[in-house]
Amino acid sequence: MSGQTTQIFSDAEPDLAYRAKWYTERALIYGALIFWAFICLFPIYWTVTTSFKIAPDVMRGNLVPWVDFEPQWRGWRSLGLSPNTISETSTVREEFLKRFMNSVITSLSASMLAVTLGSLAAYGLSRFSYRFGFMRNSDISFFFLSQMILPPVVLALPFLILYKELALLDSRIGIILLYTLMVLPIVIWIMRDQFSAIPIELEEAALVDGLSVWGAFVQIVLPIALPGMVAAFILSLVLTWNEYFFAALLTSTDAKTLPVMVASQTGSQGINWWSMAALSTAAIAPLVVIGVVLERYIIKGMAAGAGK
Amino acid sequence: MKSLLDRHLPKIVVAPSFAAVLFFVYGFIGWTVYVSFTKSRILPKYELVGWLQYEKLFATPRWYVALDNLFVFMVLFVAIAIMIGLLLAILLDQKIRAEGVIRTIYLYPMALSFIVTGTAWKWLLNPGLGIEKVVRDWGFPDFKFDWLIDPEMAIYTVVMAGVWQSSGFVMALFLAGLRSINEEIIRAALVDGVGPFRLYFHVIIPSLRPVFVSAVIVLTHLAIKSFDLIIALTHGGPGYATDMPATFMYAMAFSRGQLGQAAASATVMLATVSAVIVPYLYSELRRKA
Repeated sequence: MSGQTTQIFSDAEPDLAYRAKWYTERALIYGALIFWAFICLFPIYWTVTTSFKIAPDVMRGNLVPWVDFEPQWRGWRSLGLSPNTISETSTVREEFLKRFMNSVITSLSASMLAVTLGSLAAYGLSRFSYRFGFMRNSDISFFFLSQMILPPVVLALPFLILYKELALLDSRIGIILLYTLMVLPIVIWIMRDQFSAIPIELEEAALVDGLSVWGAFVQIVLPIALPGMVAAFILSLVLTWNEYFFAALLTSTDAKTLPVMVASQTGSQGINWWSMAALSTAAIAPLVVIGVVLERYIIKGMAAGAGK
Repeated sequence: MKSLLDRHLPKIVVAPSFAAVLFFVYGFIGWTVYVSFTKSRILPKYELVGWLQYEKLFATPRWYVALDNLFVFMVLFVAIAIMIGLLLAILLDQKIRAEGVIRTIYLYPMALSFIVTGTAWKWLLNPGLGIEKVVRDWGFPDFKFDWLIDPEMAIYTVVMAGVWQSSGFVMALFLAGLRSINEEIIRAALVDGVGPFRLYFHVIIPSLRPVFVSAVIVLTHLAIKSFDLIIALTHGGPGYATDMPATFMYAMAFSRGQLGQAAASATVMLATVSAVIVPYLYSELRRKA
């Protein structure tokens, strides 16, 4: 019996050294990667936990719930979203829900519009040859994509003045149209690559079988390009949900979105850390959920949007 | 009817986007440039006055502060984000378990609005709270970290937050680049007995040149656009010590009632961005098409 526990073969000295080196190397690599992951997550962790802190906890820098501090509903109560205030009427909650709905409606509508318009344009650019004055396909693509690099400030002034004229200031419609325009180039960029990757023979076969160009697009191309469209849609959603510059500029009371509400919380008397944190948590929660569920698509969209 | 639709389909699919972009982007750029040559203050005026607004702009000390800050921010932000991003990509390319999870975590800072995550940064950087307090509690009672309220140093807090936000994204770019390197080249180098450091510095990194170019372009563009970062962290303060062109323009247009100045600064920004990026983007598209 004892023979089974004694080792017959043992590693030679150099093998052991090699293995020790391998393990330290691995430990260093994982250590560095986890360190950066910690840095990435810390502000998010802080925001979520702080929404359950009371003032002394924030000031003392207590970080670990139940160990450092006892979680309280302080932050959420100030938003009217804690268990004991949820049934009461609360003006803050109403304001918050209004902003939240504004954000939901504007980002969803703008993303849908942009994906529809952008996919059509991208399809055209990947399938037909255009000649518009001196412009060929690549020039038209450039015409669309160049606005991706524009500093948005260049468009801020005319939009402000136009919207004042058209009474679109502080309206959801105005914001939706602007956001559509803002994400349109990214959608076109992603979808052009998607459509180019689909062999044109598929549609030619469909045309031979008697489908119209439009029919071939709807029945053959669209289903294949759907994952790309979802990626483009999610990326648009993220960008429009986070947009602050134009929302701050063009909305005041009715159409104000969540980021504008968050930014306006920093008053002259310093910051209410806990209510800021509760509000911030509510603002990032939808994205974190989407991120976990649709991670694949976001990565795909971001990689494509970056201009590989 | 049906054949009519088919015949005009190419135009129909592109026309809405084309018209919208033509009017609202190019038309509006034209308008902004035009207004920068007028005397507009609170309301737009349309008589041309030549380069007056630009002369005024370049005689404004605050504009130079903004340009200075942009330069400092851009150089540091681009360099550091690329270094960290490349390092993370190389580390993540070593057959790591749970690579997908880590990659997603690295992209979170970019996917969340800085207006929102900025709250946590403000706490971290707040003298008396955050980092300063934590280090003091560790037993260094004289530790000082008040960059956020120091006019000389505040811009570096913006760099820190910017790097935090963008490094994961740069990592994704480099990781894609690393994955597309031809295996043969690496194997050949290994057969030749090249060590890991020489492999990276002499073989792999040089072959990532195109990724470096696009990373620099994307980051430069992010730097010129950066607005949320500054508004959320410092609001351009203390005073206007961390003003950047975007916040300068915002202040001119909306709290100072100087439309002409705002338009002139926007035009200068546009010209700068175009000079850097347009040639690259155009050649990129030409090559693809």
